[in-house]
This record gives sequence, structure tokens and C-alpha cells, in this order.
Amino acid sequence: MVKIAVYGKGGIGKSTTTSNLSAALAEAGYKVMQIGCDPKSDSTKCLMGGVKIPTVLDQIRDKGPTGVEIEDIVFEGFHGVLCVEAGGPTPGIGCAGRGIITAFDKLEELGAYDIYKPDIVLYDVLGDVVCGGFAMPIREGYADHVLVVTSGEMMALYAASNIVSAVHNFGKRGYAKLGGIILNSRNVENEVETVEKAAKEMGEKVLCVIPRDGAVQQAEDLGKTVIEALPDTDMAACYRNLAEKVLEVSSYELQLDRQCV
Amino acid sequence: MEQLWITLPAIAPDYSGVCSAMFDLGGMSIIHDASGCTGNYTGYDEPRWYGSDSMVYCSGLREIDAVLGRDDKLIDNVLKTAEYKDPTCISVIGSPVPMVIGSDMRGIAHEIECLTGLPAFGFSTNGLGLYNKGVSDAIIAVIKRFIKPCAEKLDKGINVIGTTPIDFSANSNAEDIYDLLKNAGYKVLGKLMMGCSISQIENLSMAQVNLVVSESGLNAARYLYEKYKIPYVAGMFTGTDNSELLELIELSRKDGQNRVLGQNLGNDASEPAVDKDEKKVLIIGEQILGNSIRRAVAKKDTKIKIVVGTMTGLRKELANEGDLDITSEEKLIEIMDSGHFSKIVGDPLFGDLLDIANNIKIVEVPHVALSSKLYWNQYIHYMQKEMDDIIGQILA
Repeated sequence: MVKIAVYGKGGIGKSTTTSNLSAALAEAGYKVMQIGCDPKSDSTKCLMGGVKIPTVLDQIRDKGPTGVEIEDIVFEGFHGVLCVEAGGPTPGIGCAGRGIITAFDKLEELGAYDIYKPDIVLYDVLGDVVCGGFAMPIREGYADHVLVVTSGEMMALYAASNIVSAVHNFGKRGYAKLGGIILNSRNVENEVETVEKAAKEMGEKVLCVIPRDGAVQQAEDLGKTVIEALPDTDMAACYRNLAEKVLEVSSYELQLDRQCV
Repeated sequence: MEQLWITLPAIAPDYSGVCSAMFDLGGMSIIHDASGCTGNYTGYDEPRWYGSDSMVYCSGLREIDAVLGRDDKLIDNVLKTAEYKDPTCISVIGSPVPMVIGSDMRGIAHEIECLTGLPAFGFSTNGLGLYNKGVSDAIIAVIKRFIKPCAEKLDKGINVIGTTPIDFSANSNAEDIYDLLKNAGYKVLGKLMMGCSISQIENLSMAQVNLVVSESGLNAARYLYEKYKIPYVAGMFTGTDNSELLELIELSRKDGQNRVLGQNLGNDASEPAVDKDEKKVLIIGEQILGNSIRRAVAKKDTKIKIVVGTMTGLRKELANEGDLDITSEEKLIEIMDSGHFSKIVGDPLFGDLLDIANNIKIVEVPHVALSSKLYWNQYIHYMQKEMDDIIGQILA
């Protein structure tokens, strides 16, 4: 099993990218689990036909800390992708970061990884590594690799740089390693060159360039990923290419799995 | 309001359990808190603290450090202290505030280990869990870290798992267990955790059998069974007649099967042929000690019906039918008022909950986990005549 956390500035397209990546990996024959780590809880919507699933924290709130069963929080979406949403506290109060930890603890306690045995787990994490809770997916025992989604816009690159430096700093704690930067294009001038230059300065590389394409919006309007709604488009091919790159990054862990089998 | 404890004090928390388990290893234990939790452990949960030179420290966490995530201050202080105290290992132990802000205790320990080269452990305790979980987590962590595989077993080698003063006090209870086993021809390899050392843990796998003397040791024993095929017996010596538990240990040593004292013995104390209206005895406290007292009574009088209850989480694999998971003071009062019990065996503080009208007699067996220092200087010697007297009071 390989676990990958996807970070990036808010609104940069993490959930869209992650969902399409999950769909492409599932289509390629891998058992994928996608865990949304954002109180908005809309990470997996396009894998679930446009429907928002109940979150882990919702279920804990409704059924009590000991009343939640695994089937209350794990839902099967497109091509068998296992979808989970961590959820969040009541807006304006509570602690979203602590909420992520509670949701992760619950998944662990219920043996989610042992029961479903996914090949690949993708954590789609809200924005930046702002506190202990949002660093949870990259802690020891969770993600093996971190992917950072950015565009060529300055604010997105600034956020990416913060995330990369946090991941580098946490290296001495045995946390996840950087798997690469994904450029989700916004058609900014000299975007590829700008992001490649920035990546080099961060000591990282651009893993994949995803062009801006109307197919993404078209699929989202249908409540689906591009892989599901428009499988024969160039954009779908692009996400499949991203899946291949991610498999390359994960080859060591996936190889270990095969040896265990 | 079920969790509101009005009369009874709070049971020793998880961080006290970790510290208690690590106490004898020669390591440095740092509770990451403002000082209240450390004071709770050193002042109320650790009879060995006074006069000892054990390295238990408080990180002195302050509000602004929590807000700013100043793990670096904690790490720097640990490094400075470790430099001149020369500990064998380092444990960083969580409390409520680190839990709320999501401090990664394991990650911090990883960093300390990288910087000092010393084995470091991070425990995500939060003060909401109870001591038995802390003890259990600590025992498993050190076993996983230090145990070495062995080429051959030591004949009659045995490990004793689950001794901490929170269950056994600092009197001779733990030593009495080790002495009895030694006199019975066993070689005690691991004294987990009272009297323990890292070199003992390295050699645990040489044992042919494990004796689990408190519930805190059960998970470790199960791990050793799964990983090293060492069978375990869960039971505690009680009073001066301990032949049955010794027989079980010898049986498990020979056939490799796990056993629980008082279970599947064909003379189960929980199901004697008694009148339905006959009143029962309720033992409340540590589950394995409770089971063992029940068994000692049943050997003398099979008609007395005894129920074991615990307030630290009932383990089904140690329980007989009808045993009670007493999750709150409110639930305990309900049980006491139910009219089903004529005697309560347990900490003297349970007496404060008794309604005189119910005419229930209390047989006092103090438990450090609950009454702390109030009785730890007059603690029962479990394997001496004092326990025979307790059993006599239950039989009377």
C-alpha cells in the first residue's frame, strides 16, 4: 500500500486533480481510497456522481464516538474508488485541525486500511500545512509521498513553497517525502517555465503539467470526473498520464506490496 | 452527565501509566504539559517518586508555545538535559493541551532520537485515557524496540508482565511474585515493569512462558505470543496457597497454550448452583487480581457467587459471564443500590458511595489507581497472610 497526500493553495484544483487521479488509477486496476481532509467535505463528490457523502465527524456527531461502523464512513464510488470525507466542526467554532486527527484516529480504530486493503490511498488536504491537524496526513505511518498542486500564479507558488519547506523540515521526524509538483495550469504567461524555475529553487521537480481545459468543468457539471464523463478526451489522457507518473513515484512501495503477496 | 465523578477521585490517567512503566528503565520521561499533569503523576500516582532520583520532567508548556507550535523549545530542553543526565532512553509523553493542538509526540521523539542517538519514544497520551492503557502502550513500545530474537529458549525461563505501583504499590508485592517463581524453579528473565532493565527486555524472547499479572500486561503478552510463540497465563498469586497458578504456568510452558486463571476450569465461580435470590459479592478493581481473588474464594466455597467489575475497561477475554464494565461513578452507585450484592471488595473509597440502608459490607483492598497516597503505605501484600484474611472476610 502506498499513501499519498495532495496539498496546495485553496482553490487550486486539488480535489479535481485528486479525483481524476483516483479514477485513472482505479481504471488501471488499482484499488484506490480517497480521503478528503477538508471541512467543506466535497473532495470525493465527483467520484460519487455529484453526491456529498456523510463525513466521519458527522457520523461521530450523530452516532456518538463508539457508535460509528466502517460502512457509515467508507463509500464506494466510480470504478470502486473508496471514498471517505473527514469533515469538520460546526463552522466558526471547534477545531478543524483536531477534527482531521479525530477522523484519522477513527479510520485507524475501525481498521479501514486492513479491511479494504487499498493499493493506493490519496489524502486530499485543505490548503496549507497550517497546524498539527493538517500535518497529520504527512506524519509517520500515514503518507509516504506528498504531491503539491500549484499554478504559475504567485500566491499559488508561494503556498507551494511553504508546503515544500514544511515537508523538508519534517524530514527529520520521519515524515513523508516530496513526490513532486503538479502544475495545474491557469494559462498564466510563461507558466511552465515559471513553475519549473520555482520548483528548481525548491529543490523539486515538476511531475506533470495539466493544461486548462473546458472538459474539466463540463464533467464537474455532470457531477463526474473527466475519466468517467469524457473518457476519450485529451484531458482524460492527461490524467492517465498523471496516474502513470504517480505510479512511478510509488514504485518502491507498490513493489514491496507485491513482494509481500 | 454520566462522566461526572462527584465522590470518587479520578482514576490515574494514561500519562501516569507510561511514566510508571518507564520508571525503572533508567530513561528520561518528559510530560509535555504546564505542570499539573506532571504534579499529578509525581504527587499522586507514583509511590516511588519521593526520594528517588528518577528522571521525570515537566516540559513547562506555556500558552504562547502551544499557539506557536514551539516543539523546538521542548526538543532543545530535552537535548540540553539529556547531555548531562545520560539517560538510557527518552520518552516524550502527551497531555491534554498537546492532544488538542495535535502535537505529534512520535514525530518529536523521532527528531530527538536523530539528534541524540538515544532510543526515543513518543506517547500520544492525553489525560483522558486511563493508566492501564498508558502502561500497556509503554510496555509494547519498549518490547518492540529492544527485544532480540533468541537462538534457543531458556529452560523454565519466564517473564512477569504488568507490575507497576499503580496496581501493586511500592511494597514487596512485585518482588514477592519474582521470589515465588524463583523458589518454584523458574528463571525470571523479564520483570515488566517493576525491577525492569533494557537488558532484560532484550532477552524476553528466551522465555518459555509469560505470566500476566495485570490487565496492563495483556496486550504485550499477546504480542509476544503472536510474534515469538511464548504462551501466557493471566493470573495473580493471592494469599499463601498458590499451587493452582503455578500448575497453570507449568501446563502452558509445556503445551504452549494461553490460559486465564479462573476460566474453563470446570469449577467456574461465576456459575455456582445457588438460590437466585442469594446475594452476591462484587469485586471492583484490577481485573486479573479480581479474577484471582474470585478463584481463591471459589476453591474454598463454590457456592459463593462472585462478580468481578472494573472501572478501567472490562476485557472480554479475561471476563466471566456476568462480569461488569463499570464505566462511571453513576453506574457504580446503581449497581450498589441494585440489592444484588451483600459485599463489595475493593478500594476503601467505595465505602463513601454505600448507602447505609443497603447494609452492604465492604472488604477493603486499596488500589493506588483510585485512592492514590491515602493507603499506599498500608497496602495489602497480595501473596501473604493479609490476602488470606481478605479471602476469609469474603467467605465469612
